[in-house]
Amino acid sequence: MTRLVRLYPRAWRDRYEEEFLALLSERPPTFGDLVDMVRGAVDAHLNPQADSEPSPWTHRIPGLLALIAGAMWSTVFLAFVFVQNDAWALAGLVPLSLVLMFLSLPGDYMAAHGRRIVIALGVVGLCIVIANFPYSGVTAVAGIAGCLIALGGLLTLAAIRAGIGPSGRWLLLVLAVVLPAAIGFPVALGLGNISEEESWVLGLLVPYGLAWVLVGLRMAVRGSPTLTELPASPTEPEVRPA
Amino acid sequence: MWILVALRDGPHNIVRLLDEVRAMDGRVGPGTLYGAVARLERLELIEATTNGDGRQAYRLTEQRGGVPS
Repeated sequence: MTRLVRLYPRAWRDRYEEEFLALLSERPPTFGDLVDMVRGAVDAHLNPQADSEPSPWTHRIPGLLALIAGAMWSTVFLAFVFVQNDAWALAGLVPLSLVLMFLSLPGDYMAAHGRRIVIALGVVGLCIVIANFPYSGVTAVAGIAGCLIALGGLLTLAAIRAGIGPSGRWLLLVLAVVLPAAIGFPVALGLGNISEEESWVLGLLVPYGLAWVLVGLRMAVRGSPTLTELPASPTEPEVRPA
Repeated sequence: MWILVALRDGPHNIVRLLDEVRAMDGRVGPGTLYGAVARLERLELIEATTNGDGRQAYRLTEQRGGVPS
């Protein structure tokens, strides 16, 4: 039922979704009602019935941060494909990208998902520790797997904030993390220290940056409240005596 | 139109509104009802309020003679 309600425009849902769902729970819809809801959703798109207030410009900041972070990340790893070892000069942008990705997450979102963000940070820290161990198959597997989990978690959190649905988030995760990892993981294990000819493997990290660009774009277009601007709680309409 | 007629008796929550409109106009779906409610609200012919039980309800606006001035 919730999926059907998602067919309605956002402004409409902001105004009516809660009571609409309450109505449907009290008067379970027939097949005809479901058809009527779809027709109503099309009508609501063609003839907007609820006012949508434009988001303040500050709500675009998290999206812009995510977009910049994704663009920087993609540029660095694309450079590894085309200019090989000269690209190491840009490697400093990777931690900067990660910082921007983290900064794009706060907001009202931080309170709800704070624990997951702390876990992701912990995993990244653990990976850094493991990466400083002498190279071995075990530390490589643990380090790479840990980083992939953390990066995938970070992207998922941003995708949730951008309002991307579960199926979209899974698709993003598979295309940006799982698939490149499935290709690059066995290759990287055999490489150890990546030589100039083998630095193309790092190009597999480009889709991750592109995913952040997509998520950032969506966040920027939709508007996403910043830490200091929590969304106002809905106020009850004033009750006047009948 | 049937919504305005139904609300002449005072504020109704959306479930009662749906029941009354269905009683007058036959099979009206929730999508049609909310489309009409949204339009009437936009035209300021009806407005949201709360019932005695604290639930969200709709009533005629002052210009429709639903709220005493």
